[in-house]
Amino acid sequence: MRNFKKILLPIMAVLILMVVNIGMNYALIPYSYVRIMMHQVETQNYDTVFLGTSHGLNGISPNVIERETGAKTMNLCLGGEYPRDAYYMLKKVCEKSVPKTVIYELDAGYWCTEEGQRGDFNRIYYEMPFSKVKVEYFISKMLKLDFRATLFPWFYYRGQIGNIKNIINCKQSEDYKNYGVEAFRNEAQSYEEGFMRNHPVEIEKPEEPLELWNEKTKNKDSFLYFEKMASFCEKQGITLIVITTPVPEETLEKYNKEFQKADTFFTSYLEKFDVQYWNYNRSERKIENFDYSLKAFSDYEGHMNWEQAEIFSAQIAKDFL
Amino acid sequence: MEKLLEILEDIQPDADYETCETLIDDGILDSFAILSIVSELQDEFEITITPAEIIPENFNSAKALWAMIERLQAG
Amino acid sequence: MSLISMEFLLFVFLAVVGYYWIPQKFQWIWLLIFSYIYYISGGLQVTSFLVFTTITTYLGGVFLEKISEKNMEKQKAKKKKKQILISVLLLNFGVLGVLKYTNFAIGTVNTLFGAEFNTLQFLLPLGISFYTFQSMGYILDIYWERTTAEHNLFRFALFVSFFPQILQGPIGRFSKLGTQLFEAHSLHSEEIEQGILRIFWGYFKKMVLADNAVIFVNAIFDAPDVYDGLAIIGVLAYSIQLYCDFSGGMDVVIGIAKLFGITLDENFKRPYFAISITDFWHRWHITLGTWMKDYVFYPVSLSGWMKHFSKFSKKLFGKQIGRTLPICLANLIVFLVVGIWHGAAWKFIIYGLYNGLIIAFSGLMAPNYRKWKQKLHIVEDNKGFHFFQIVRTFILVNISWFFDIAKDVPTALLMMKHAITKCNLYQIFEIKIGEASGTKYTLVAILVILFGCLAVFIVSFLEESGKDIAVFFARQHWLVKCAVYVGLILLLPALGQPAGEAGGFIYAQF
Repeated sequence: MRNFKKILLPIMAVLILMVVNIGMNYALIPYSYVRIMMHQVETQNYDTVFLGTSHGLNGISPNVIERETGAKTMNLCLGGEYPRDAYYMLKKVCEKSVPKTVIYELDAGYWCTEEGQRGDFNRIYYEMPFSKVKVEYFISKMLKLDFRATLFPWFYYRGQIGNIKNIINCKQSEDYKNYGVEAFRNEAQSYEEGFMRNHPVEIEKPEEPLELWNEKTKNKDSFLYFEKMASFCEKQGITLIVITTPVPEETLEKYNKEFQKADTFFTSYLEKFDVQYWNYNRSERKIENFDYSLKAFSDYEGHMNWEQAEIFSAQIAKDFL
Repeated sequence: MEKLLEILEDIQPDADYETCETLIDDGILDSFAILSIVSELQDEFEITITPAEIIPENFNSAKALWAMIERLQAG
Repeated sequence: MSLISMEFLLFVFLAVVGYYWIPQKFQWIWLLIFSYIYYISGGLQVTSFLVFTTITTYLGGVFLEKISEKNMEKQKAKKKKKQILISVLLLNFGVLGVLKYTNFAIGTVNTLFGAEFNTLQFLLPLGISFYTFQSMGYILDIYWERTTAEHNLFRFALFVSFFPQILQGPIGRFSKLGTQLFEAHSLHSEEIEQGILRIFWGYFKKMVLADNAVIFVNAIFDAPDVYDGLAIIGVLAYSIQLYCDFSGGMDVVIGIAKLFGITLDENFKRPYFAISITDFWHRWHITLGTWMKDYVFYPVSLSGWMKHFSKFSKKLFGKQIGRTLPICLANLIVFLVVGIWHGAAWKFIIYGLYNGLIIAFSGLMAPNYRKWKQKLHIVEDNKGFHFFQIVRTFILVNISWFFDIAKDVPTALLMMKHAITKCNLYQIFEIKIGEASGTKYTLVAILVILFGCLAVFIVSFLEESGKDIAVFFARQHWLVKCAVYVGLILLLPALGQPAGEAGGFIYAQF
């Protein structure tokens, strides 16, 4: 009897913790389009895959590219996606089918800041369906982090406590069950046609946070995992192209020196891997009909409006062909 | 022995040195008191007390202290 | 490997499961392997320093014992032993000194003489001061014949590197820890229960209290001019942060050792209940205090030149002050060392001297106090007087924290001035909790700290009144235990702050 109780205690404690955890995750973690991405990655085959940051998520319309090039295209760029995350996303994609081309959207800020400082940095791991890649991703990313990140995913969403009703309602809706996009529609944004469409709004454009390139604070892991990605692509026969999305001319003028430095650095860095680098902030890559004024962006950092995104995507498709 | 008790009384009056066996373990003598005692013993009995002697077993009671003094005088 | 990381939890889990699964005679080898995996995961290069200390101390110990055994002429043997001791001490403290204090020395020379020497980049081995102190205590104990030398190099290596404690102590003694490490341990569910409770209690103190408090500490001490009305709040928050961070870390370490059936020395005994600065140092970072007492304070006090000074001062000042003065001087030296140990900066030297001077002063005044108390009819165990002593000591300790936390001595003095001249508690609501949410959760954080402190206070108060919480807990119904575990664990994500905003354990950098 005594021994039985001894085993009962840990089992009971773990069970309660698990139940509470499931409830908290359900009630506190809002629906995210990362879930839609993962669903698509699991169920469909793509020829062209975009990886990268929020600039790519806002700036690249997979539909436009698909139309122009005829290749089935998916945009997997996300705010908070460091090269490490991108690498495992790509591996996850390849579990289903290997794409012909991977286009990595490079934001120099992600190569010189610590991981975990941006937005939803844990979300990709959380939404990724269980698989061998997820285990590898766990070992690479989660092991080093605070144990609460792994054991209590709701930890980073405690602030949603006032929002529980909406979150639960949303998760019980048909839209959620069908991987719909209604939940992401608001005045300023909507997740449609496979990318985040920013709608023009008349507000003062924020300048912060603007992470510029700083060679002194290089994130070694960003380089390491990009290199892993490059060699993975080579092995799988995937063409890897790196791009940088255009930023407003105001930003470019103000921080010209830093943008120049970043361009020089990454151009020579990527040459080493024989990877093409299309930096759309260079003058020779100027896009026709593209509005470079701050008006067409939602901030200095360079999140562009959806109309610009379609023009920009058409240009990528053109360069691609 | 009487001289020793006199020294102890002088340095830390509120303790019963005749019977107490836990002067160190119960924190009756702190490090200041211990060193004051050592200083007086060295002068009074013309012995040299090294750090190796500063262990609770030597300071826990007046009896133990006396034993240490006799041992050091002989050596 | 950070104490709060997922990999550390898994690492401890693996270590514990294997430990009770393998034959008991291999348990210590298992611990040694895990200790080295742990250390090497922090950097392979710095492991060489650990190995260096292990080997030199081990050899020193073996040689010292050999000389004692041999029938050598007494004087000659004594001289030889001293030579060995001094070389081991010099080698190891030399490494520690060079790695930790070269840049301080360069900086001081630069400011004093206007020179422009470049500071150097050193790899600082994890826990170097803790394992160095622990090893040097061992060699001194052998020199004084208080313990016998370990003849198995690998066993000794475990004593130096035992993984829960190497990062931030407690500093162990070979006579106590050594035997426990090498003994066979069978699985006792009570020890596991106690260990886990202790671990999560430690995490609670660290994540919920220290990591919330540190946000206020950093905001206030990073901008002492902006938050000039909050100097007192700042230092109080720091006293919460420092205690909960350090003692919380100790709880985790001691709890983990308990999972292996090993009882480490306690490093904290409710320090804020101390009735004097001396008492405070008997309750705060205890193993450092006793290390300093045994290996610095007594040897310095009993050294030849101190004896001369004692004779001289007795002649000059009479018996009572005469004999106390050298002790005070030795005590001052100890606290100078303690100050420097905390960091290579002038503010830490002042921090040490401040503590040393108060203790020396009260040492000198002790006979007078006794007389005054008699005259004023104050009884030692009077509750009111006891409370007065606690408050007085807490204030004195908080004054010392200003030197510890402020970026330099002038800032510390400025903050102390603000503490007296300015007070504007409303400024606290301007402090942001996390960049994204601004001041939305400031009040929540304050309440969390207050209620967390209350919980820690209740537990401390019960312990201070002689109750053994662990025994009390063990007697509870298993459902109660279950509720306590679950509640404590859930509080960590619910109310704790993310490590990104707070950083690691403070004492893990020593």
